[in-house]
Amino acid sequence: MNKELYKSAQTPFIDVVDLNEYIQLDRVSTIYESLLSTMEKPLKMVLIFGRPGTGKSMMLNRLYKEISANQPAAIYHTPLVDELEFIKSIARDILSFRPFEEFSFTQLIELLEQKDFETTPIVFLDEAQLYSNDLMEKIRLISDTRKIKFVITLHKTEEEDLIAKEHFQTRIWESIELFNASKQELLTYIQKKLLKHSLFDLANQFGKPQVKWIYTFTQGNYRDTNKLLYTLFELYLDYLEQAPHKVSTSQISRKMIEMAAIKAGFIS
Amino acid sequence: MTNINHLEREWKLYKRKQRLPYLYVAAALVVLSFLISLGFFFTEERSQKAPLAPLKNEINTTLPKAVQTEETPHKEPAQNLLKQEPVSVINPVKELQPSFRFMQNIQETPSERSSRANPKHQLKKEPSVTQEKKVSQKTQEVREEHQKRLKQNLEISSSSAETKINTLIQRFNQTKNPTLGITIAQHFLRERSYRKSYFYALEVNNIDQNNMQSWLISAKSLYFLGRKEAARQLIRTYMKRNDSSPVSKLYRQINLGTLKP
Repeated sequence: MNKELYKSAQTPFIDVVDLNEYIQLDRVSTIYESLLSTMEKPLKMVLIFGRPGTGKSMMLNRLYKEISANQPAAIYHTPLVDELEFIKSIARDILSFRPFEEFSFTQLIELLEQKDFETTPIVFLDEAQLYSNDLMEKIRLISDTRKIKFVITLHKTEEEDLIAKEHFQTRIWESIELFNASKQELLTYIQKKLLKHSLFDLANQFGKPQVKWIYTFTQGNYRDTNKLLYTLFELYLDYLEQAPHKVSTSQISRKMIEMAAIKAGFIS
Repeated sequence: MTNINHLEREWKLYKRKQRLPYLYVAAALVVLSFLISLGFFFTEERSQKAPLAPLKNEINTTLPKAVQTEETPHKEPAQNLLKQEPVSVINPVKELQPSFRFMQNIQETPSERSSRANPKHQLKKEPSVTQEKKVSQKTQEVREEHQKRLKQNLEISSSSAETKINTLIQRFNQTKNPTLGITIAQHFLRERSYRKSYFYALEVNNIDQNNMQSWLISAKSLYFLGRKEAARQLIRTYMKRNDSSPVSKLYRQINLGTLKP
């Protein structure tokens, strides 16, 4: 197996939210379809939450891509921590209104109430845990106008989060929790990722034993799995460069997975 | 570019750390099995060195001399009751049962034995009146003869039973076979000769301290001799070292006073 193959194998496992690299898994598909149908309901807010690396951003992006084709929508991957910037962005992206420098929240609300939409626009907010409480209150007030729907993603934390706050609980129409992949799902994920890039031989080298070893370090977390596999293929490239006699390219060995885990920091 | 030599060293260290818990467990198992085998070894040694002390002949002084002189040419045992000595549980010796014929002879009455042996000697019905005299004479003769024979049989049977038990006793004295001793003790127990049964039970216990039957017969004998507390104490001593359902059952019967001959 030549070096180019291992180089190509790294690409699908780069940790970036790229819809082209999206892999459909049965369980996640079901959740996605359920969320899509929820968007049609007269709701104020949908919450997608879960541990980091469980695919929240990917889910949000997929939803935005699907919905924005049919109705006005806006997605903010990076939280707009500045309140003025947030209000201006909403006005620009949803109302197609370019405000002057001085633009207040009250003005935004007035504009929203005057506007009649054929279909209610949806605003997708990623990493909402980074928004301040004041800004989250303003988001709540905007949703109360029923002129804009919000879909927000949130990290699940040990502390009491927004879900528990009373003023959000009544507004959240649906909340979906995303989990890590199971071993079987992880195997499907890895194989489909490689098959998408026509890496058939490499995809065949991943079986239940390999996934079992990978799962030991990543627990099915997509981000951690991407990181481990990227490092694994990088290691293969290093061996082929420095000591090709020490490595077998016919199968993914436990030793290589464990060394990749050491290199990636999963083993201290 | 990764330093693969360094990475390999780190990986080896990781594998060693991974195997460490298994090594600890294996070492612990080895040590544990060694300690257990050591414990068994010492327990075995102790049981061989310090076996159960034989039963005390509590009623040694009250045993009639006649019994001793008749049946036992050798001296009486005079041991103390066991205090607290550890003993290993030994599987009881497989008992040889006395022959059925012998037991039957001991248990049957002389008449039963004679009727079984001589079925022809049954009384016939009396003849008609016309031949009364002749018949009555004959009948009388037959009766007398029968009585003579009965007496003879009785003497024969009692002497044969006695001969047999004496033979057993002689054989026991020669061979010191615990099974024979137990048979003799059981015979006397059935005959309600409790002193004799106790004596022979003691004899067997001298030979084999772990013989459960010797303890059982001794306790029963003491109980029927009116020495209930001694019987209870005996059983308790045995039960401290051995777990046996017949002994437990006897203990219960002794305590409740429901033990029957």
